[in-house]
Amino acid sequence: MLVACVHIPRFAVEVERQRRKDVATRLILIGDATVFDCSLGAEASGVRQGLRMSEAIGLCHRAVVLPPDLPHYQRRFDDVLDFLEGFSPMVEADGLGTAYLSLDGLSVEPEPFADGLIASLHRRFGFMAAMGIGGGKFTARVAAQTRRPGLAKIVPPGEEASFLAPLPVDHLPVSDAMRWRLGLLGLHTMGDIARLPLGAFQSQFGPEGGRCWELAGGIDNEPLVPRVKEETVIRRLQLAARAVTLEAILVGVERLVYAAYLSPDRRGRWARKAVVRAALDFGGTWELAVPFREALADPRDAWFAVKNAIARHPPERPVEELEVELVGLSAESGKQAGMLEGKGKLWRQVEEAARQLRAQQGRAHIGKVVEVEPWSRIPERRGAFVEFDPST
Amino acid sequence: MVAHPRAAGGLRRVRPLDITQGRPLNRPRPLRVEDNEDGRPTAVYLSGHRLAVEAVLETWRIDDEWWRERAVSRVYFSLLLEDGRTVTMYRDLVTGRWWRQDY
Repeated sequence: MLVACVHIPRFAVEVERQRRKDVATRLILIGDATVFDCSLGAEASGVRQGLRMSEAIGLCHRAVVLPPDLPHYQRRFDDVLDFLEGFSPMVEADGLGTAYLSLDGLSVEPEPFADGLIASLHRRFGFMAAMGIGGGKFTARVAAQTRRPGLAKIVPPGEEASFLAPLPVDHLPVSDAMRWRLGLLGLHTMGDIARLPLGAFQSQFGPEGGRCWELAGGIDNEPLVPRVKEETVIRRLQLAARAVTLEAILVGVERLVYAAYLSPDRRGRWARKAVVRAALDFGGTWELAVPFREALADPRDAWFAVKNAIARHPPERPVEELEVELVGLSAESGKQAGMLEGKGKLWRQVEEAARQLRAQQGRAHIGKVVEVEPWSRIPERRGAFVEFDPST
Repeated sequence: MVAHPRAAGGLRRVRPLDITQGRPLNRPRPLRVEDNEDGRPTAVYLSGHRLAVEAVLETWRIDDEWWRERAVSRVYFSLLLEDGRTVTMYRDLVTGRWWRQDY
C-alpha cells in the first residue's frame, strides 16, 4: 500500500491570512478560551494548540487574536480535498490541513508526483504543503510533518523502520498517560520502542502498546478510508447592506430556501436537512442546522421549519452574506398520508357522501367514536358514538 | 416577519364535537338468567337458548356514584357456558335485574 500524505501546516492561520490581508504579516492566535491554531512566530514563542488563551497572549502579547471560524476552514479544506481527488480516486481527510491519497494502481513516480502536487496546490489555493510518501498512512504522515512546507519526503518501501527510528515518540498517536510513561521508561525515540520485544511492550501498555509498537516499526496496515462526498445544493446571497434586523435576515434566507429548492441540481429530490450559514460583520460565521422531521419536497414546508429555527437561534451579529445548503437529498417521490388527514381524495369522498346523505335523509348518519371517561369503572361511561359532520 | 403561505387564510375554525348528543358505547343489554339461592347464575338465555353455566371464571363488584340519586352497585360475573363461550354479565344490586355487558 503506497500512500501520499499532504500536510498544510497551520491551515486555519493560512486561511485567515488569505481572507484578511490586514493580519497577513502579524503573529496570529486563533481561538476562544484555548488556542485552536497559531502562526509559526507564535509557536516560536512557546504557544501550542490547546494552551489557554490568557497564557498564549502572555507569551505572545503582540499577536492578533481571532475567533475561530470552523465552518469557513472546513469549506476551504473541502475545496482542497475536491482538488486532490483529481490526483487520486481515494482521498481521506485527517483533520484540517492533512489528507491521505492512495497511490495504489496509479502509474506515477513518487517524486515528480509529489513535486507536481505541491506546485499545483500552491498555484490553485496559495497553500504551501509538505508531502510524505510511504508504505502506510503513519509513515507518510510523519514524513510530511517532518518536512518543511514546499518539500516532499519519499520513504522507499522497506525503509519505514529505519526512517522512523530516530524520530521522537511524540509522533505516535498515543494517550498523554502513555506518552508520560514512555518518558519515565526512557523510551524517547520510535527506534527505542521498535527494539523492544512486542510481548514485553504489550504486557506493559496493552492493546494501545501493541499498535504503538507496530507503528514505531513502520508496520501500518490501516486501510485508507475514502471520504464520502455528499451531494448538496447550495445557494448564496451577498447582501447589499449589512442585515441587522431579524426580518431582513429572514427575507434573505427565504429567497435562498426557495432558490435552493428550485435549483435544477436538486433534480426533484427531497431534502432531509437545511443548513443556514451567515458571514458575520467583523468576521466569523454563524451556522444553524435545521433537520426536518421527514424529507421535504415543498419549499414552503422547508421554509416554515427554517424560519422557526432561526427565530429561536438568530445570528448574534449583523450579517454580510447568507448561504443555504440542502443536504440529505433523498430519492423519495411521495409519501403515504393518513386516511383522514388533510384534504385527500378519500376525505373529499367522505364529504361528498355526507352531503348526499344529508340531502336525502336530512342528516348524514356519520358518527365518530370519542372517549368520554376512559378511566371510568362503569363501562358505558367510557366512550360514546357522536354524530360527526366532516364539513365543519 | 413573513407569514407562512399555508396560513394565509388563517386557521380554519373547527366546531367541537358535542358528546352530549352522542349515545354511549357498550350499553348493558337485559339478560334472562337462572340463579341459585346464593345469587350465582346457573344458566343464561342467549338468543332464546338456555345455556348452563359451566364455571364462574371471575366475579367482582363495583359501587360508584353513591352520591347520586341512582347509585351504581353491580356484581359482575365472567362465565364459561356449556357451549364453550364466555360471557360477562352483572346483577344490578339496586334493581335486582340481570344485564349483559362486556367489561
